Amino acid sequence: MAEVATRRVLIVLPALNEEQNVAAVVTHVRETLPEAGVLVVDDGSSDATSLRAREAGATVARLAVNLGVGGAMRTGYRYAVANGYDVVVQVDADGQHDPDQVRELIDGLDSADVVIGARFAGRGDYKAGGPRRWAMVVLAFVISRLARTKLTDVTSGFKAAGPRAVKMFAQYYPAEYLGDTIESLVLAIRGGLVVRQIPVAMRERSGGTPSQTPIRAAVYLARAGLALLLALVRRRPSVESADAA
Amino acid sequence: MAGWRILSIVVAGLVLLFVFEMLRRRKLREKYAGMWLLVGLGVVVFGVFPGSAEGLARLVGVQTGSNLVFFLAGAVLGVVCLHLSSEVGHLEEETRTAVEEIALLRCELERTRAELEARVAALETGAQAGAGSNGQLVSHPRG
Repeated sequence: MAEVATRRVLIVLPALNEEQNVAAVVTHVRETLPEAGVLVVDDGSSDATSLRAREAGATVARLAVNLGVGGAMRTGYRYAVANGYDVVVQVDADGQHDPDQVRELIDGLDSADVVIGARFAGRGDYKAGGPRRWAMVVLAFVISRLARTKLTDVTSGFKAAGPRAVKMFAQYYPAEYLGDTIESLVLAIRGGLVVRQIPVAMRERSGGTPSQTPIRAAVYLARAGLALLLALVRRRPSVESADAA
Repeated sequence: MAGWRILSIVVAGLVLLFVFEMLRRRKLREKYAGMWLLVGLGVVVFGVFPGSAEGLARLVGVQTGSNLVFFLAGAVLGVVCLHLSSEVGHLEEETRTAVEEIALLRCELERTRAELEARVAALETGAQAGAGSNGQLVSHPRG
């Protein structure tokens, strides 16, 4: 794998109606990683997200309709491939990921193709309770088995992808529910990519906390299970051309 | 000829005519029309020869011809639904790709425009400076 120092890094921030936070996050990212490109993918926001991001100095790709995180991230990966970036780091635009830790993720790419910033790995105090937590534990267990390494947080949106993963994800990145987390990881593993995690601390969400009624948690569990099953039985999209390139 | 038989033939004929007309007006793509033409033809055949349904039913071991027709109708509708679901998924994927491409193109356009404006501005300032020095060169020999 190439030296980290010679790699061109692109920070991709998928953003949906984040006009409050996006400017601060972009500014912080540019301060901590002045050499990296910053792309905000505005996922069909109805507010001034694009404008704020551009004012803060980011490149903005605005999706005309809402495609979800999967669509936003594939746009980011395609931009990376078209503009010669080797590494893509996904950072949420709501400010819950700490840009100071991006460099740790990128360093982790020395020995892996995908590095996940994991929330439950003993750093920080992020907690999820009840059925949602169980769902995360089950998913983490199954995907850890597949990846042959211990992964504790497979639904994290704080991820770095190395050159091989960028090529693969630019071609195929699922847009379905949880496709950006579970299915993309399963795809990466089945495509022969190496997935690792490093512990990260989460910052408090600037907005509200996600609602957690038992019914919603149960629905989440069911949908996550279905997403995982589908990811496991689906035919793998061909990545031969990506490998050859 | 019994009234119900004329009615079924007329209805089947209308279905066939309607499908054909939609196809002719380009409101139905060929790949979906084939299926509906087949269904329409089947209905006409069953209408003209009611015995064919009975015969077919006996052949496959269904008690009455009408049950067989109901079963076939259900099966056809099920297949059509499945087909439409898959087509919708296909369209979603195409829309997604198109939206992503548009976003990237817009990105590219903005950057190109910014570069162009910067270059034009540089050229204009350069031309002004050039014009100024030219004027001086011209005025010198006179003085």
